[in-house]
Amino acid sequence: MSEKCILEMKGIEIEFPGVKALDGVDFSLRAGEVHALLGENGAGKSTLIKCLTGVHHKDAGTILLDGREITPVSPQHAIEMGISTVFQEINLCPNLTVAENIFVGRKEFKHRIINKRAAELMKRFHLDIDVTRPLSYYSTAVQQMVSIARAVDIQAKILILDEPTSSLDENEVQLLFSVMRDLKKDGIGIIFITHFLDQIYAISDRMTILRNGRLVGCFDVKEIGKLDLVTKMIGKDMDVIFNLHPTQMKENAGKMLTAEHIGAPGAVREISLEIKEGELVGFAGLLGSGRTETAQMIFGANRPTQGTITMKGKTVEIKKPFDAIMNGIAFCPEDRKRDGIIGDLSIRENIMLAVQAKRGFMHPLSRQEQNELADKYIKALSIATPDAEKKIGELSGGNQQKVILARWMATQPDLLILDEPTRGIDVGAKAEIQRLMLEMCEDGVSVIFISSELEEVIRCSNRIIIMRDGAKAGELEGPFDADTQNRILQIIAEGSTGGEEAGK
Amino acid sequence: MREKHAGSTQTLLSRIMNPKYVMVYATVIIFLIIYIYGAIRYGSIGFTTLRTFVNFFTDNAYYGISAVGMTMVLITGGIDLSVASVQSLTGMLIAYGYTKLGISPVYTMLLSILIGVGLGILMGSAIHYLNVPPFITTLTGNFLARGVCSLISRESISIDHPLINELAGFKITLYHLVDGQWEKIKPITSISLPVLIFILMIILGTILMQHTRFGRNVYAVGGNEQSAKLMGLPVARTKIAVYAINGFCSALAGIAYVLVVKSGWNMALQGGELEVISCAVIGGTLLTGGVGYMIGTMFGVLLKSVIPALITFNGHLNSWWGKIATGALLLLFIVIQKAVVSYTDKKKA
Amino acid sequence: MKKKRTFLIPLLLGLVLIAAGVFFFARVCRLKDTVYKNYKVSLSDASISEVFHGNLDEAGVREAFNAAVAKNEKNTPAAGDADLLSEMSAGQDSAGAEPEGAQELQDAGQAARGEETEALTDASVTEDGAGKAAASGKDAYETVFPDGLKDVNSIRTANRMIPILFGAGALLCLVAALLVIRAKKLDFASIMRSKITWAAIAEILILIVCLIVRPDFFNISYQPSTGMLYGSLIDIINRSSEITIIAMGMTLVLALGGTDLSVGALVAVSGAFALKLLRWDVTIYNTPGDYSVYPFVLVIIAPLLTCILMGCFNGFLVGQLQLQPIIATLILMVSGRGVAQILTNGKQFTTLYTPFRWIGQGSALFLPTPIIITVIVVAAVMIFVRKTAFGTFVESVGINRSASRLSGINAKKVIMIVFALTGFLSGIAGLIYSSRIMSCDSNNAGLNYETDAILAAVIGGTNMAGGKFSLAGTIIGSIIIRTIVTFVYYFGISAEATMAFKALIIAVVIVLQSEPVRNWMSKRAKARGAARGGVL
Repeated sequence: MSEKCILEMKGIEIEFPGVKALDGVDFSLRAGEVHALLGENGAGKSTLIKCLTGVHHKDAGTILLDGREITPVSPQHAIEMGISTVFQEINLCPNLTVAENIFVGRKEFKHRIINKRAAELMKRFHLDIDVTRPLSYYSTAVQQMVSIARAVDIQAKILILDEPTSSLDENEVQLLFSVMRDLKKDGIGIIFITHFLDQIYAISDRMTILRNGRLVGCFDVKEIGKLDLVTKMIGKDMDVIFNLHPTQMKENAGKMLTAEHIGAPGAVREISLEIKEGELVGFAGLLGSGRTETAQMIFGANRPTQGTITMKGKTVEIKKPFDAIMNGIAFCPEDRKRDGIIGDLSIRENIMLAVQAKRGFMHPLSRQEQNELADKYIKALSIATPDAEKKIGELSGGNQQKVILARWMATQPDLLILDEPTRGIDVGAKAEIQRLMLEMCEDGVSVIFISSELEEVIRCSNRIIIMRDGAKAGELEGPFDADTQNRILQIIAEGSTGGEEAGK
Repeated sequence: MREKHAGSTQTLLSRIMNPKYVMVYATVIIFLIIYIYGAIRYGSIGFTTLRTFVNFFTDNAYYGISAVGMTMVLITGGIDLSVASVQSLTGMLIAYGYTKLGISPVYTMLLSILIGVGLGILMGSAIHYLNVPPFITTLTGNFLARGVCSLISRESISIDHPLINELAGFKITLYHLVDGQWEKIKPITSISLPVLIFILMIILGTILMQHTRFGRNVYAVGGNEQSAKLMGLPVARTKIAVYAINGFCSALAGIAYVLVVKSGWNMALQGGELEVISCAVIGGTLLTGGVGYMIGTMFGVLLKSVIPALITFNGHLNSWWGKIATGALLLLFIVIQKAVVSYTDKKKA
Repeated sequence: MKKKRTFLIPLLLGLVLIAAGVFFFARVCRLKDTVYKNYKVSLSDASISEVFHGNLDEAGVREAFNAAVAKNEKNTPAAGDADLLSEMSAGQDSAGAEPEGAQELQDAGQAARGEETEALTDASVTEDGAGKAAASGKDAYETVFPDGLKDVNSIRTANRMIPILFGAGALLCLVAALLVIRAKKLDFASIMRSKITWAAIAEILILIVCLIVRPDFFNISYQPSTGMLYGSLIDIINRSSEITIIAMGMTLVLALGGTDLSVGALVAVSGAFALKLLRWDVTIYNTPGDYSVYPFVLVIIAPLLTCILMGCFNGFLVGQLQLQPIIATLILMVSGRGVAQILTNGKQFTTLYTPFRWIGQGSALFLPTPIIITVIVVAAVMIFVRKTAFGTFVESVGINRSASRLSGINAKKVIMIVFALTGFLSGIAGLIYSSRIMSCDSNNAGLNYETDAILAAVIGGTNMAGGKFSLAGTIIGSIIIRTIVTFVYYFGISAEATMAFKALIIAVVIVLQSEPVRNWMSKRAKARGAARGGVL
């Protein structure tokens, strides 16, 4: 490994409407090293990658490739300059064959040649597959390997792997690592993004950590421990100081929700949980650990294939979100843009939507009622807008989130599920949303709070459930102390080590 | 590996059984079933003769030529509603140009091909750069071509030009070997120029789509435009070129149509664009893009000819059963497509 | 804060003026009615203005009026002419069978049909009632104006006041509209950005050009024989009825992000089924006549139910099977006309059944029935969509189906209702269409209606990709399309050639509405707003 940097990014800034996705981030890559890029969701890893590959365009900063300044304008341009990428979502064409996918857009196109070369390439990955079949015929893992193969086969100076291992099993990961080691020997610089900490220690030389679009630091892998790393990733927003405490639970609080052995293949193996009236239960765990999936099952967004759900002592059948709403369950989804806001509708319409759905369209809220509802929540949640008729799509992230919250508060739910309600919004809005959550608990509403930021989970929850690999790995009962965070991190990092007894 | 696959050894069987050909097989099998049914029922009155079979090509040759371009457009995930109007305009240009203005059909043919390609480029650019839905863009193109056609003339103009007559009369009569001597097949079977063009276009289309880099890009754009962009493919160029090629095919189909009817009429082939689209869809092309084969489209065209032929041979059924049968076929095919797609989705999950 | 209601003053004043105009117009209409009652003569507008516009004294008026009645009597078609006309219309009805020039004939027929109806009614009454008044010995003037000059003067005033009152009324309403805009503090830029505004401006511009080409374009006259108002404006609205009705449903389909190609075929099915029920078995009921084999209620309801069912079929394919709307509705588009032909055995039935004629050619409240039907349908759809939460649900599903589902909206149900409604509306349009030609035409009925309806909605500001829609805009869009056709007619250009003009207008509209152009414009508007110091 040489000390010479083949890639240097300095002071990169990218701004999306309402959000500063990257704020003065530096990054450097040496020839022949594997450099891990770390951070929680929304930290700006993917944005940084997309800036380097010409998908997004930087607002400020410089990129030096081999000492020359470059401005990638399109993925095609980036590939020509020797930057090859495997994106997080599999970016291949499902209708083309495996061989075609590897060679499309390149010199070779004759079927006989590309089939032969693709088969050879796949052998290198120990994949014995028919490369003439369409890509959609194969599992996600194979598709992922194919997209890696494509990126590797292009003779590049820099190889970017954005979460390449998310759908690979242990053997496949080892295979990928051996390929990566070969590439290292050839002097190729590899940028490696992953959520799996063990893999970072197995393959990486250095790491750069991002948080909320800002640089935390660049470290040598050897000099930083696992726990230290997680702390740096998840962070302690010391600049945010509120006086928020979990609400005092009532002594005789009844059961609100009981889920027994619910599960769905591919998402959650099996989980049982119980939530009391007015209780705030935090869900901790890494992405893909099953925390979101559990919430979706309770809400009927994904139908559980097994188990029973009981609301207020009554067994309910929840087939679709509507059933859940009728049973007093509300759900703020994780992906605000995709599953939350109806972008072109006004704030008023967005707020009244769930209430209206509950009533059915033949029993409309009058315009007056709608206005009252909208005004009430705009005031209560201090949504920053000139009036209720502004399109929700034109609001900032935090205000959008508040409108979604208002939509569900308006249905007067018994159980409110919030999946990452504070992601990608500024500190002030975060604090307000947490305050609102606690106020609702005060009123007897039960809340499930899912967040990647441990700080806020610990700050608000009465109880914390820790998820790992699609199952419950531990459960901690409040009140929490300074040591709780470490304990949670330990469970996340190393699996269940008798977390059940903790705190009891 | 978690799953065992057929293995990389490419036996002939595994190559034929490639799931990407499922839809084409479905089309061929349904065509065969209908053909065999016809052969059993009406074999005695000439359904099985070569002439009847060649007529399947002759009946819809101009739709077939246009369907070659349409298949490519559909593979990119687009749609083109202007094809029939461009055909009609081509016919009108040739007819009006010669009969009223005395311009040789050679020039008007070249002109109409230029117009077809030009309109294609224009529409392709609007679709790609302005993000206007292909449906609306090409509908506008449809109105424009049809309107201009009607502005030229509202009458049906017949053409009596030696070149056209010669081209229209051009036939390859088929012979077969009887007792060591070449004899004409009875009943006399001949292949006309439109059929030749049709078959030629299918072959050219297959080569273009299967054996060139451009064809690969077209499939990639249709499979996932975003991915295609990220893989560094020239998406804009590909999409615009596809619409241009389709414009070329429409103009060519218009010329073939002129050879069949020897006249130009502003209202010719009304609703033909949907006939062309349904040929491609019945031939296994997915409207969502990414899947389709020229050979399937050819069988789609044959399927559209065999049904009216059956009705004619039956003698009792009325022609409108053809429309209903076409609708039923469409339903059948999109349900099969849906089933295939959801099956592969399930497999993946 | 108290709302400013200053706009009410000019609005009320304007409405009063218009009401007065209507009153005077009614006076002239009464005159025509009286003349018709006594002499079976339809007095033309030209004769009226000739007689009453000048400063003639009583004797002069008497002479002129009697002459006018006599002149118009000659112009009123006799029974023989009516036969000729009805023959012509029969010829047109079967014209669809010949491929060539069919469209042309049909359009000519449509233009002539209004006069034909009038002629038929005239002919039937002239025979028994002619000369009744003449027998009493009084001349026309004395019979019509028992009060002499007083009556004449009232007509004179009316004739002078009508244009003034209507003009002033319209102007005041415009002022009121401007005041509303000011009171609501809508900034000019946002109004100009609205797609409906541009559609309305386009319509007004076309109308102004029409007015320049044909100064009598806005004239509306009363035909006592049919009890109906006539005029280009009324004709435009009348002829746009079918598209307007269908476009109501199409707007909702587009708002869902879909397309319904089958509406034209459903128009054909509806007409064919209605005619089938009217004539049933043409071998038994072999001459068309003023009868219906099945009760009239069934003739109306059965086709509508069929169309609703076919709409539900579309809804099932799109909602439950999640097929692409274009291809799902293509099925019925192709096979629907086949179904229509099966119903009628491929023949073109004609009928002379009077109640059925009323749907497309009759009158109600002095207007052609289709206008009244359209108003009722449009009002009903608007109330259903906007007074319930259905419209919001449609928009919500069209914009973001996933988020809508997570908010508890049953997207499949919404899709099903929208397609069923579109089927129902197509059925109504089919009844109107077949009543206009008193026949069914499986090949040409509703031809290209799907594209016209889509265009009406798109011009009216509904986005094809789904989302916000505007039914009012759609109505304007539909009227624009018909106005273009009427306008182009005046230049003697064929109906088919109007497509080229349509194409140009649509091209302008879609380019203006396209994403990059709008982004560019909003950026410019923002820049300008920032330069002015910014509002918010």
